[in-house]
Amino acid sequence: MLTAVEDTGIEFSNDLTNTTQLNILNYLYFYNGAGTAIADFNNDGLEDIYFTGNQVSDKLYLNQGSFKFKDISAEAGITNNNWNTGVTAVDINADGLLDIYICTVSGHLDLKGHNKLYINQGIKDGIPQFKEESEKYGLDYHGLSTQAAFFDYDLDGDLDVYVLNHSVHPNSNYGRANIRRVSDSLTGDRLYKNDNGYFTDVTSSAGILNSKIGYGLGVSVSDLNNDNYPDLYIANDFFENDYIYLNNRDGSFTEVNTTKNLLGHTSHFSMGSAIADINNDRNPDILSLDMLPQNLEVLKASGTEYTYPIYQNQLRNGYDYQFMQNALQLNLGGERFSEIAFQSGIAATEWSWSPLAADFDNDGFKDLYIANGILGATNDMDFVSFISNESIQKRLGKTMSEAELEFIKQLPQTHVPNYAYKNNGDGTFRDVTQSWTANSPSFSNGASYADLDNDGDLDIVVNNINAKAFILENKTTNPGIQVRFKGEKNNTYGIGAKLTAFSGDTVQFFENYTTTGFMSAVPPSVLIGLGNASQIDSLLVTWPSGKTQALKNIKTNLLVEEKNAQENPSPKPFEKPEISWVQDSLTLNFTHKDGASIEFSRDPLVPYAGTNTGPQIASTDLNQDGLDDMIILGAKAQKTVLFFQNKDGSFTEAFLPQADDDAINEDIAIAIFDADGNGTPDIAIASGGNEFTQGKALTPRLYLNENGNFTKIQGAFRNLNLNASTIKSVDLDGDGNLDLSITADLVPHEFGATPKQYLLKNDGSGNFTDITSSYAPEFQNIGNVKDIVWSDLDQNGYPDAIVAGQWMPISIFTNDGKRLKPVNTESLQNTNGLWNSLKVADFDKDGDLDIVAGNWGLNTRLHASVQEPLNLYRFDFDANGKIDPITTYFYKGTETVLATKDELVKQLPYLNKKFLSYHAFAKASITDLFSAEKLKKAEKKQVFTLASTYFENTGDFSFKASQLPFMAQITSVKNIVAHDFNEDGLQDLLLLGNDSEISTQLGRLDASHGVFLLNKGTTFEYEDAPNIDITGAVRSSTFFNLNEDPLLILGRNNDTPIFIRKATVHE
Amino acid sequence: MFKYLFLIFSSALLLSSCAKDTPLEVTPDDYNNAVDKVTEVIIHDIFSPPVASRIYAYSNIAAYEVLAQNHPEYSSLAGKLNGLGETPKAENPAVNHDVAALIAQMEMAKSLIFSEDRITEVRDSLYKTWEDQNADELEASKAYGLQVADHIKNWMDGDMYKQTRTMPKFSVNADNPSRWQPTPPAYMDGIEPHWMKIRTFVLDSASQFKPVPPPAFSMDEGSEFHKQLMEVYDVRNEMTEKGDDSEEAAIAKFWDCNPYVSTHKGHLMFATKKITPGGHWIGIVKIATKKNNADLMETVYVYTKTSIALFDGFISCWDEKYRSNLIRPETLINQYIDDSWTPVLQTPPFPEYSSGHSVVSGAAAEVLTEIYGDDFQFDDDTETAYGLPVRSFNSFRAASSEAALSRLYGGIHYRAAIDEGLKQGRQVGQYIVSNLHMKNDGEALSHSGN
Repeated sequence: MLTAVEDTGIEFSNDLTNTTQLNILNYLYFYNGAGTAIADFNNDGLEDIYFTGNQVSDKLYLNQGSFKFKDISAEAGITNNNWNTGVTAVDINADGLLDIYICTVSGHLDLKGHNKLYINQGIKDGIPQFKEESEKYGLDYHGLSTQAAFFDYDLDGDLDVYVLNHSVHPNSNYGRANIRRVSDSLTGDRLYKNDNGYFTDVTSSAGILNSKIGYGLGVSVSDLNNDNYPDLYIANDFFENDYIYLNNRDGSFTEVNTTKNLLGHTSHFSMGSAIADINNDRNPDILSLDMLPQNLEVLKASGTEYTYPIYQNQLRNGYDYQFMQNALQLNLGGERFSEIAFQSGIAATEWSWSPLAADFDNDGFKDLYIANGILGATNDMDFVSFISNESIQKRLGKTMSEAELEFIKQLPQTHVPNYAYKNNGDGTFRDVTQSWTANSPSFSNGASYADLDNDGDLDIVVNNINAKAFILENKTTNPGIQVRFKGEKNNTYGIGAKLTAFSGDTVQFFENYTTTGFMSAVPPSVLIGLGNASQIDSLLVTWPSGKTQALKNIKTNLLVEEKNAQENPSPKPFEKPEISWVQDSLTLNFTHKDGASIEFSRDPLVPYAGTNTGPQIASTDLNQDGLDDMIILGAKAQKTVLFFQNKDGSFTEAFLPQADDDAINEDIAIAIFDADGNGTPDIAIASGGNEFTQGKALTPRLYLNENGNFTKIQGAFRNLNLNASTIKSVDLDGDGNLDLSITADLVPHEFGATPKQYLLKNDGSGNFTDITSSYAPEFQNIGNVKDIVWSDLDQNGYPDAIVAGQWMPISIFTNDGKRLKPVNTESLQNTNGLWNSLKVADFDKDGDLDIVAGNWGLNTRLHASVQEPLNLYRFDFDANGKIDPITTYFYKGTETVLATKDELVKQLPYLNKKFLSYHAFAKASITDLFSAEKLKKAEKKQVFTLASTYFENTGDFSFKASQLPFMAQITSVKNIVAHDFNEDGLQDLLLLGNDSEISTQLGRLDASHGVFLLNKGTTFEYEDAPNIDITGAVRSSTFFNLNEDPLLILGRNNDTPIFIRKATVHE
Repeated sequence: MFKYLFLIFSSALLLSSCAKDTPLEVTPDDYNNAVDKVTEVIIHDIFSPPVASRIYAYSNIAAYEVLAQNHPEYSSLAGKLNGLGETPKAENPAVNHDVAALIAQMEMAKSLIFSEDRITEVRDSLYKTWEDQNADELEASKAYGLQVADHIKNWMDGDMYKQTRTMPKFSVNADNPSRWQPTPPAYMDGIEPHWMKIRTFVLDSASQFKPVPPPAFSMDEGSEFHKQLMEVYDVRNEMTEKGDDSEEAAIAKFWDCNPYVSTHKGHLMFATKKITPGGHWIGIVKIATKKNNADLMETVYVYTKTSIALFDGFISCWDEKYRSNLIRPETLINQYIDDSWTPVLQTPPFPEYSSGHSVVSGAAAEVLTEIYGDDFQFDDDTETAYGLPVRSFNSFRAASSEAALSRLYGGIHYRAAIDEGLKQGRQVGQYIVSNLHMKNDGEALSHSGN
């Protein structure tokens, strides 16, 4: 579909040669390449192409139609021989002719020059005539420039400019992040305000960071929070965070990624970026590219993220969570983003520079074209560890410069095809590189798109190193309509105008910004794909001035003009959101302090830690004064706290008896129940946290309540030692006394080992006896239980158990008052997951109980199915007396170890005997590594599904499983609230979770801001709750009445609890 | 009777082929070459200094145990090294102990390194030569060499190496300002945090020569710690002024002995690799024994005793490193003084106190001094393969003092780690000198030097 056109007349090739004066060893961005801008410079209705060159001169090609181009550089007055990088077309002087702004690298070594502004002086014989006038405009910046973006940030009707610069500050030492607040003259970004045609540097007054750690490689402009003022995304390479600047609407910006953690995590080695509405929800989404290999062998032989403990150190130095992966920040509206690149299928595209996010097949959804490759720079670990040293050794004795040039020739290359991804319309993308492109390898950097042949689709132009530029003709058959803009005042091309196009039941959203991808720019126009529709039913145009206009029934290309737009149209009608719940401002004097997990130091091979599972919060009227009280369980070395509610809505803090002694316990689970039958709520608490292996810190505790006074019953569970996940009261045998179930999720310090589960019978006075082995022998060793629900599924009067856990299926046990027996139900057989949470209710109102179960989710590199499971092999592979837990997953059909080679060989040095080379390791199969015999002997646990799932009860212990919607899968679901949030009589869901304590090779599960799913009778549908932002790692939820008003308290790991509630009428 | 028959049978065989058989010979240089090969593979495979010392030690001990059976003036290490039992004696008179010793050394080295083919290639070519010369002698010697190697391996198996692989990593906790943190550019985990649990050879325990604690951490000006930190900073600055050709720079680079120096230039990463501190002293053994025209027995003896000192030295040092867990100067200087300061040498990935090179150099120098005396001039060309010049020393102790000082010039250690480290190493060495007697007529060898 994207066919390379050969004899176009375009011969441009960004040829690079390392010299002793300038090379990859003394200029770290020597191989970053250059860009391209497409625009109609001679106003003949055909888009022309400008290429920047590093060591070669720039070229301007005039479009002569039918994919024939003519080099007019000299005639047009384009002569330069600087190291040029980014390019963008802009009508800077509002004369209706597009001018050209070029970024240049200067001031490093012998590189000279400055950024250039070619002013279009008019068209002579069809040839635009350019004159370099950057100094006159104040835009002759000299430094390490990457790209510029023109936009009207103060909405005064003219175009200002953000100049993105990179840095040559050594990246070998990440240092303290507060250096980002120190300006640097050579590097660091600049913001210029257009004051009547002269550009004034307003960088510092506008709040723009410009330090020497600003390795700026991507800049994108968009109104992210929909206040009509343009915001900025800056993609920084290496350790420095990416920046999001929200426009303060007063001429300044606030950087909110670093200061407010607006993004859960970003790409780490960020290169190009783009902003576009990927899911047609009218919120612009952010894409930034990185260098994660897609090829498994390349991936396994490449340098990886720091291990968890060392990663923590980087965070402590003031850097945010960043991972080597492309990042797709789904904009949830306003200022909430969910990073979903893995779930979308676009996280890994090798060494990637340019993201082009546009609708290439005109089906109404924006697709991706990703330009990638690098001539010589490497994180190939065989090169780093073995080859480079030998190469350097060989050249000992030669002069430094000779040796360096020869060494450079040895550098491995990433010579790979650019990727094409088709948007499936459901949040995911499909790799269509093979079917859409010629799939030929290249070193591609800047890229752009435009309709070069005016046939209603977007063609692609790519600037390559050491090869001719690609001109790709789009041969899609779906129709598209081009919209051009004519703005008022000095913004002649309507930069920043927004389009919302409705056709049929689809809606598409666009913003008219030109700078995109990497060092490149598109023309100031928008092409709207129609898919199966024959027209755009209506098109809403919003100009930066705030004026709007609506056009109907559009069938052909059109020019929209601001002069026809309306001033201040009717204010947006107030739409009552479907979910009217809001954040509540209540705060409690409690911050859960679990600390960073040390489990990855103890056992570097584990995929996730079992250490950060609190805090649980329970609520009931403990002192029987008619007001709900709360109890929040403390982490290790933190006391569990009681909050007694006072009549005025305030709280009085209190502690359980001997709280200081018991603070060492990491309290995980609580049951509030009448243990001794005296009518008052008693408390049982169980501890866990995977800190202690045995002893008092793992023994549950019982507190009996006498008129609001609690007594700790010494030795109530003296024989019990377990790493608890839940404790629940339940009358197992129908004798009227509340018995207890206590589940365990792990054996401390032994990842994946199966702990024992407990049922304890209550004699009615609060004395408990372990009856597990007689009452429920099969339950005892069921697995790594994370949640249990007691509910009478078979309606025989005795509560049955629904059990979920990690590396185990959803399991059901029936209870007849004498025995708890497993139900062998075929429909749940292959449901092994990494389950965390359960909710049981009659969701479909058919009279039986259905199950919703929260799983790991689909937003990491891990995938699981019955055919391609996650496997956990537990065996002492190196016979040193300690079990090694080896987790594997399937990647494109191949079973592969999750742990990196570096981590694996530290534990199992024998592997280095056979697989010292990273590539040999990468190619080795699981049986090559561990031997089939040992794998057979190993204890094996499996996971067949990672999706959070709805199990509809179809009667007779049969369940119909259906995966919850896309947004339910963006993180691990640790807690589930069932409540009728939209008051339609059906129980809706609020899924809560996130997890920071997973292997850094898996990134971080942080995408959820609280996911609401509305119950539509037989299915659940995602619904945004615009007034709720539940960030962080939620572990528990409980309803609670503050006086009469119901609140939902959410317990967050390593954080404060937060509260949400139903909006009052006037909200 | 059965044995007697066997002898006759073997003799008959011997007779039948004796025409072309010549007795096999192993020269000291053959052994030097084998040790050099081990050094080469250690570099290639990237073993950390403590682990490298274990490779040298066990491979040399195996060779020594074979030879000592055949040299009454030397005694076996059985009962002298912790846990080492009686070494089996050669029963077959056809055994050539020199050949068996080299085979035992190669077998141990092979089992201890990763790139086995680099050892087996050399071994197989020796086998080929020997086989052509005297197949029977080779067979007998091989069987015995491997038997001793097995004996050593069984003993080695109990040294806790395997168990320490899966023990917890050093936990990084930057909230404690004095605690070691990973250092640029590779930010590697702290290496071998459980090395003090490895069984020593001669020392009673890892902590037998526990040095005095380092100066109390304090960033207050005028405090001893702060003074020593500033000394590192100032020395580096003075060296920058003097330029690359300064004596300090020459000393720092000569004794770098960092097996893995990682370079990050933008997205380009590579590494340069060198011998370890232990490897450098193994190189000095070669220089000294050659200078003394040592025969094979003497050569292997000196290698063995030196590598025992290095091995126990590393354990002693690592015991202290992960006791004091002291932060490196680079981290503090970057944090408090100059965020772009870099040391002349790359900071190695483990806690600062005491200095590993100082400890093991001190220990090795004591053992070598005992053997060859305090007045032993030598030209140290160990580092020429890495593009570094020859340096000359008048004694082993002088070399060890310079090695220790190189850590200050290199910007990777405070003064205390050097002074106390050298002291600690000399104590380890002297303890070995006084307690490990390998020669029946006293350890000192007359030497022809100077």
